[in-house]
Amino acid sequence: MLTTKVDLRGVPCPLNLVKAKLALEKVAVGDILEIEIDDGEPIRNLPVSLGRQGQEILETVEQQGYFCLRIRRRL
Amino acid sequence: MSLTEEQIQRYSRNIILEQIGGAGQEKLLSSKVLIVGLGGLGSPAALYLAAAGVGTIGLLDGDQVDLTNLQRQIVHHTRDVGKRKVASARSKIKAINPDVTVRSHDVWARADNIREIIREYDFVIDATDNFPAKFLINDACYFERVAFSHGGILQFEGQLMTVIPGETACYRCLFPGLPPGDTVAPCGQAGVLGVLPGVIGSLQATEAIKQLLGIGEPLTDSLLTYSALTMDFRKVPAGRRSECPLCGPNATITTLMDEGRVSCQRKGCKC
Repeated sequence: MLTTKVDLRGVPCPLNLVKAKLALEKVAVGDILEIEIDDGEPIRNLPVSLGRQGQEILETVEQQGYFCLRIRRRL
Repeated sequence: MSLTEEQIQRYSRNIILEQIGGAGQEKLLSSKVLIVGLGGLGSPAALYLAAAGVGTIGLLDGDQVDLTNLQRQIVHHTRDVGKRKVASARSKIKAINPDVTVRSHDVWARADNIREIIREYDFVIDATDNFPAKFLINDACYFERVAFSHGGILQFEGQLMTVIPGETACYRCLFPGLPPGDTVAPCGQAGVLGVLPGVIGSLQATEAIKQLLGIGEPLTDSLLTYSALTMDFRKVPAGRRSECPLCGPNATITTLMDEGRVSCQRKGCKC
């Protein structure tokens, strides 16, 4: 299983969702995408939005000053 | 093809939609739509398709902008009066979205020129204002097998239907031929609520986008009618007819022919 990484730190809402979606389109269904996002609005919004769109949020890991979101592409 | 940073921002509200995404946006950018008629229906269709990022938009109209057009033909502005309609519309499309390639066809649609134009496009919007043009577009799209959206308006009423030639009901399945000469008044004499073509033309643009992306259910085999006075939308089932003179098994129309002039025939008329 492949894991792809994308750094979306510094990208505000909702553009980070657009970019996360574009990155997800590039991974195969079933594979995993790791997204680095900022604290605050991004970590509050992005997991919810991606979950609502049918993607599987595997885990959210707090790093120093940001978060790493692991998502499995379901659609 | 991959989207630029500017395109990601410009089309972000499209991309975010599950049914479109980045792949869908790229598809739109590589699609070609022809708009026949740059009047009340063609105006909103041109503006919305340009904004959506349809990569190539063909504009076909042999007319020039008249002051009486401005009440409803929102792609044309006051300073455009007297200009060619294709040039006027082209400048607005370019101003909204420089990504769009505009192909101008400054001619009236005729049997001897329309097929070769239509075959260059993925989808056609019939935004014309007269019956000879509507039959001509229907027939040409049938012979070229290009899907199109029929739209029509008068006074407070509008209608539209999407046609996938050879698969779904065509315009002639519903209306086999021209109505008698004096039964339908042209818009200049009957009047039209300015916002009415805005509603129908926008719905035609919606159908174009759906068809290009292959999403949702097209408005085929049914005619959607709209009344501005009562705010009733009605979807009237209208399947293919075996007696259709164009797409039925015993078709009598086998070549493209003009059924009359597609521009208004009355001298001095500005409809």
